[in-house]
Amino acid sequence: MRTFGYCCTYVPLEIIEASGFMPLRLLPSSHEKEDVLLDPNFCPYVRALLAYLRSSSGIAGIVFVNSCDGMRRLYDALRRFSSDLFIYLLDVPRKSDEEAVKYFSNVLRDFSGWLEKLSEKEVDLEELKEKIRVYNFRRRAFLDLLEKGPKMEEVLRVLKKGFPPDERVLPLIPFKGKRGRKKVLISGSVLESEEVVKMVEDLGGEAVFLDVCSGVRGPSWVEESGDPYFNLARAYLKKPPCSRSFDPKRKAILEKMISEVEGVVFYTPKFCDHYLHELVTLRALCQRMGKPLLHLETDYHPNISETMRTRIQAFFEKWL
Amino acid sequence: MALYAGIDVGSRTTKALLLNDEGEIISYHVLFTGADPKGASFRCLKECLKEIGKSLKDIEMIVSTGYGRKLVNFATKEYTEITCHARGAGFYFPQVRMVIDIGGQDSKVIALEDGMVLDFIMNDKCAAGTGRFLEVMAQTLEMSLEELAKEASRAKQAVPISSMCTVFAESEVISLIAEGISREKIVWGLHLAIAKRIASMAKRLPQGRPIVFTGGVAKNKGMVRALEEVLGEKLLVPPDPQIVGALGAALLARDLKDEGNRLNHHRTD
Amino acid sequence: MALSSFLKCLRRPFFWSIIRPLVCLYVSKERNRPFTLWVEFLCWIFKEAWKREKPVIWTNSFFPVEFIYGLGAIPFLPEIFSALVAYFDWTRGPISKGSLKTSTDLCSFYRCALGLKEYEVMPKPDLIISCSQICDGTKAFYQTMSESLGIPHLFVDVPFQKDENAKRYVKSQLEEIFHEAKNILGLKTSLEDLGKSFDMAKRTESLMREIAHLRKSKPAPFPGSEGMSYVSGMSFWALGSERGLAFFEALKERIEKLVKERRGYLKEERFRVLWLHHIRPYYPNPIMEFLKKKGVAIAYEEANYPWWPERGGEDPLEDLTEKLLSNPWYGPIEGRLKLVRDLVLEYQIDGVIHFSHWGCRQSTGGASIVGEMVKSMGIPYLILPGDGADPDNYSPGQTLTRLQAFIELMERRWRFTRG
Repeated sequence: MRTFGYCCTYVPLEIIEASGFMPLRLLPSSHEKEDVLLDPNFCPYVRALLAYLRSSSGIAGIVFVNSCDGMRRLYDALRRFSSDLFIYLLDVPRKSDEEAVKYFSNVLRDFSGWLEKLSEKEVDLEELKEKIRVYNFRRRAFLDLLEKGPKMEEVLRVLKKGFPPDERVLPLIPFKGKRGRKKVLISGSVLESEEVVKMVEDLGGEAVFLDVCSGVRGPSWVEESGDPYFNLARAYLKKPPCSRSFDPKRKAILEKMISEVEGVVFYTPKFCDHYLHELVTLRALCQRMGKPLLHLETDYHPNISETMRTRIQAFFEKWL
Repeated sequence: MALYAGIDVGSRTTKALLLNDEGEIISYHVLFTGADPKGASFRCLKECLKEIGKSLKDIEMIVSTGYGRKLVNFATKEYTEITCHARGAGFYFPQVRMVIDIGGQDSKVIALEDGMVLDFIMNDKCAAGTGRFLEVMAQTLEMSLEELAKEASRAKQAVPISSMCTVFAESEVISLIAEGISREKIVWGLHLAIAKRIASMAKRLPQGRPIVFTGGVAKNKGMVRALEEVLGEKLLVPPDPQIVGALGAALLARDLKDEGNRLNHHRTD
Repeated sequence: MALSSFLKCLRRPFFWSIIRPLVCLYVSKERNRPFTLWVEFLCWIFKEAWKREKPVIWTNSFFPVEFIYGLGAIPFLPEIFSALVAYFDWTRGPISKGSLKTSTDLCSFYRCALGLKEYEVMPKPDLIISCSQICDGTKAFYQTMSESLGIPHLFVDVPFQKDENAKRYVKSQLEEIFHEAKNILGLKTSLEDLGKSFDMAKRTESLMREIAHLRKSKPAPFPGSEGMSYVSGMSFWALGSERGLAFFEALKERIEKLVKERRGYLKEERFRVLWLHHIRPYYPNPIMEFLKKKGVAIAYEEANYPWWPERGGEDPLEDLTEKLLSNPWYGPIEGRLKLVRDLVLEYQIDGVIHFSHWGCRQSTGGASIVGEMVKSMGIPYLILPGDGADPDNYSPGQTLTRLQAFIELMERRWRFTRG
């Protein structure tokens, strides 16, 4: 089966599957990064993606989201200098009100139509609804598991393949022991390696929330009756928002999460504008709520460096 | 005989070179710039003249280049190192389409066609990818630069150096030494790291061949080997790569005289 | 001590009333009427904003400011204000304060504005209205400001697409914002009032189009360095106001005169260069003088490309929707590629300089892509890294060396091709 790559949790995977493609979360693990078409002072995740996509990645196509300037330029660079891949840009609104939902449902219809042409297979509405049901089942199973306190590094490892994970892998996720460690919120954009979570947990923390792009920021439920495109648009837009969205819910959710932990680890790739701006508000929030904050900036390197270990260790030794 | 001078005032070394009317190299000299670039450029030129028993008044035109070019107030004109290195490389290899110059404190890649600069990339913000990087590493490994170059020219294996930055690379090397990794592997790994940085600069330019390698670091046969391996082809190295900038400046000085002649000719018409 | 007294003065409308005639008298000696009108405009805006008789609305550069005038409010643009502060070389303090809250990887204009907030030198807004164009930073910055000032923020999310679906989405947001703004500020503005301001903006846009056409003449009559500073400033801040119209009328008159007399702004124009990115370094620096000295004219700049479509609709909000959706820098890069191609051809450009402002992902990310196209047209292209507002992130030696090498490249290239 042909695979379709995606990079963002706002992409409704149900549509990709209903078109006969296999969605594949793109988190390349090689050290290679593009520095010819894109400046070295640019999001390392985007540069790693471009290097991966320009080589033989084995995927049939990719769906981008206009999530940030980095992704938009990646979309431009890939189109101009690479011709084999089928590329779609999914225009996700930043708002989640009814007008935005209406807009997004039309975008999804268009996306579906484009996939239909590629796969030469019509997207049957019933089949799409069935996919939604399957995904709902998986989402429910996964969220139930989360309540029971699984080991977060294992959760992240499984989530790297996509959210919601296949329910068959869930029983394999071990639970964490009761070890009275400091509860932390790991928040940020792309968290490429579960090694980071492992390191946080080895050095004295307990990752309670994974508010990251490669984490659990998916919708918890999609309505199963009625127009599936509208339902998908609604559920995906109203899911826990990321920093890109213009949604007051974001701050409320952050505040709630921070109140339930003892410290915050903010994990961003270098040059990430959305999150670096959010850092201003996050710092103020943490200060007001008296919670220590550690900001880790990464070069999107799958091998976690010693300097990162030192920082995390010092954070736990000093602050908590 | 009429002489044309080129002076390349770098932040570490200053080079001066004299050409005759036929465009042949008559003499050249290299010395440390120190804290007084203007004084150094003057002294360097005087050394060249002393070698051939001539004086300043025998020089028709002087062109200065390099980081301190504006301080050479006795120069007729100044051109950037980009134009000068392109011109100088073309003296030895007229078919040159790309020049890689690695100096003490900066590195650059120049794309040329028919002797004209098409495009260029400069790295003058960061020590990684320059002679300074090798100096720092030589010190860390307790080797002289010559020993470093020799080791690199015959090394068979490398350990990958992942740090982008000279300072971090230094710490990385110290850890590698502590781990017991052989000097051969570290040295070769360092040279390959520089070569990769240069290659990524070169990739952004029009890909012309052949490539000429200039600058003080081109005297390091290990660096030549590393670049050839990373770029996948043989490089052309001039007999004394360090003076290519000064040579280019002197050639431009001679060009100025030709232009002057053409102007004069035009006026008498 | 002196600083806080000075800052106190800046907050008094009275100060701006006094300063205005003095500064304008001083500036008018240069006999540059448009520049005098710019200074006068700024003094007027600051006076009105601090007077607080009308509501003050903060907005971003690419949000059509005629909407704010139409509402009957006073617009204040922190992004342009940061550029002004840079012009006076006062950004070091604010940037350093701003950087502490976040990272030095962010655009210095936003870091400067974040820091300026601490000095309370920007009039506190009653409302913030902004749009998502043309970068991530603008949306995030105003969100942060709304949060930290406790002021409501009305936001237009402009989609990537430009189809009917997108038009509906944008128009519905504009309608909502119009009603919300009126509610929050207690205004009784009608759509007709908006329409009047939009008409003023359209008349000004026509003038801007004519000016763009006049600047095609050889030699270049007007310096791009000024185009990127106060002309661009007026186009962002004054569009829709009478002063904005007067400014562009004066500018057109001035340029028309120069074109008629076939006078260029340079004594000897050796090369015509196109400057890419909307900004240049605004703090005192030798770049523009250097280019002038070498006979390099910045014949035109991307910042003043007349991108708004001709529109004459009855419905002002529909009009505004069309305008927002036609921004060429928003959306796939083809929009920007087309405008660069057109400018290179129409202005007879010899070389293109792309100013890569540190922290600007939307523009710098496309620099190589734009470069490939320009080079394929046979035109020399230079990427010039730098910083528009932070003088500490600027290295004169490196910058001038790159510019000089580029000029030498053009000299040899054009000498051989032109004969």
